[in-house]
Amino acid sequence: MNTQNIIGRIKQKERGAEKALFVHFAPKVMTICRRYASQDAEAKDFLQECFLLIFSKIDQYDSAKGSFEGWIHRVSTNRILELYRKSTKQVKMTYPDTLPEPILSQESFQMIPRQQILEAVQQLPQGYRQVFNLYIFEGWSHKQIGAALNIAETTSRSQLNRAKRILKNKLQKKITIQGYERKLA
Amino acid sequence: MRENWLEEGLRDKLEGFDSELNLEEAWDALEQKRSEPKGRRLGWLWIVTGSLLLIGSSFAIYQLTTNETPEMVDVPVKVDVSNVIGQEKVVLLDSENALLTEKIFEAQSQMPESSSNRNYQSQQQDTPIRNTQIITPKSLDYTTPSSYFVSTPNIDNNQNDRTTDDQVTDSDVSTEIGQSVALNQSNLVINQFTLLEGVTAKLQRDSKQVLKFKFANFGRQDRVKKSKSIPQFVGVDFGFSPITNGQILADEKAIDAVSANLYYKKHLSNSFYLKVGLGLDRYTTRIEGSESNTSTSIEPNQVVERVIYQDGTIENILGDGEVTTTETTTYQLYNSYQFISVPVVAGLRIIDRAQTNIELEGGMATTISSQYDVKEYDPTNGGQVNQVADLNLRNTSIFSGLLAAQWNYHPKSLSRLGVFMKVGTRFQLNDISSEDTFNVDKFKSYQLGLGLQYRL
Repeated sequence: MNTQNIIGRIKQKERGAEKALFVHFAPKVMTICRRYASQDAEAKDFLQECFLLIFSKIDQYDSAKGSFEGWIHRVSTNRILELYRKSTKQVKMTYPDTLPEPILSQESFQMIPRQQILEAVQQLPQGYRQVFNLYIFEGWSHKQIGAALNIAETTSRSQLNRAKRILKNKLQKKITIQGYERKLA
Repeated sequence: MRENWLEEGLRDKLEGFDSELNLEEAWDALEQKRSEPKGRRLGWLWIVTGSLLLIGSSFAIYQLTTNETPEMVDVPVKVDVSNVIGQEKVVLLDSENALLTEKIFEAQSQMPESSSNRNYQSQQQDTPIRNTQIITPKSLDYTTPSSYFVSTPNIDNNQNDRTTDDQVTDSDVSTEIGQSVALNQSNLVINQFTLLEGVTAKLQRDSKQVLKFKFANFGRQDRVKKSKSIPQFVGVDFGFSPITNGQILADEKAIDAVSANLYYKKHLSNSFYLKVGLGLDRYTTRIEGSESNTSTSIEPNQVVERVIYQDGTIENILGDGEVTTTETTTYQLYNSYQFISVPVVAGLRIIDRAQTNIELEGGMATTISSQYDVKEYDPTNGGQVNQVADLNLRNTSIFSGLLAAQWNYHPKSLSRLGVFMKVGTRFQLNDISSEDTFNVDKFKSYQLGLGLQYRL
């Protein structure tokens, strides 16, 4: 797909150009939304908000500053964080201080399908999930995450570690269940 | 170490992963959402527009109602002249013919001999009548103390030889025979009535006649009085904020703010006022941080194996081993944000003394222009600092709430000029960020200011 061509057509308000862009990038943006959302319905809401912003701000995209895909990624991430900040819904989840030591191995991890990994990320507590995503996928430092989420840098570190532990345990559980399912089959 | 197999594995599996999605259904949902009205944004606009309309209409209603010509009431004035005993008695009556005040002039003693035969026909005189006698009412149920300037024709009294030109000019007063005195009913104060050139008063020295005067008050006197009781000011102030917080970039911390305001203030009553002006605010922020670069190299004499014997001794086996070196670079940047805004403020004077008063005020400032001098850290370029010309931040329509308490001092020696000190807060209400950056914590500042204001 010629991205510059589509951007130009969108700027000229050409009918169908926006849909072409949506069809091309929506699956990727949906992955970002699913990583941050706790369930698919929320992810779909995020997807709509992200594309509404992308369409309204597409004039501001400067190809000299980077790829269009990177711009879309950045816009989507910031939009999702903004939606979380504006959300009055506060999800408070408590996890035990002592989590079982995860035994997930690298080999086992490679066997897990992508969709199940995504589901495991979605099941992380909201705060942990944001820190986890910003650190792992956006490459932010703990200081940046702390400032963005209005939490202490040390909180960001500890939430990341706890998120990784929870995730490993969830993934391990999935492998165990799959093993039982195979045996039962 | 930031890198490990889990993090790498997650990135490999999920970055660039296309989620399964019913694209047609998702597009239809997006189109439907786009067609919905923007309720929240409209709500904001309604609040702002409504507030401005409320303030504007209050001001307009006030202006319209107070610019009307005051209702006039006729009060008859009776001048009782008796020359038999050489006295002239001026009597001021109210509308029900009750006595308001009277004054007796010792005409004979005050007048030179040559003018004793006067006939009160001022039209026949070559020069205007300029003699004025002050009559101060002894007991009048008026809200404002006042003095009356009553002209009596041809009383040549040195003490009373006050020209009425000034008073006439100030009050635009004229009198006509055969009519009544028109007074401002709103405060029922008779300021002045004067016999002027052109007045015909056909009086006999030994007879009693009733003269009726009328003020032709064109409203100027009322306007002068109103401007004294409902003041207007222009002022300028400078403020510094020792407590400021907020950020636009992720690692940013606001450190101080300064402001300067030029304003016009108009009282709508003795205690309530509106203020509009032009303000300049400047925030300075700091970004502090560090960035680490980790490199790995093979170095000799490294512990490559550790052997623990049964007796508990430990032997380190040395050889060429991997050494990780971390270089940490710290940086500190200062950014600045300037805003020009139009503040609209309503205030209440809560304590009012002769020379000092305290006011509380609150309102909203709308940014009409802004400029950003932003430096951004670029970790991909060895920690170099890039000057960012345009972060696509919002330049106008940034709304801020304003709250302040102001102490005014008007020393007698400075006449109309006064000084004031104020403490206040300014808090940004909406977001200035673009999608490249985001404004996590909107700017807030607690300001201490000093200023001058001049009473118009």
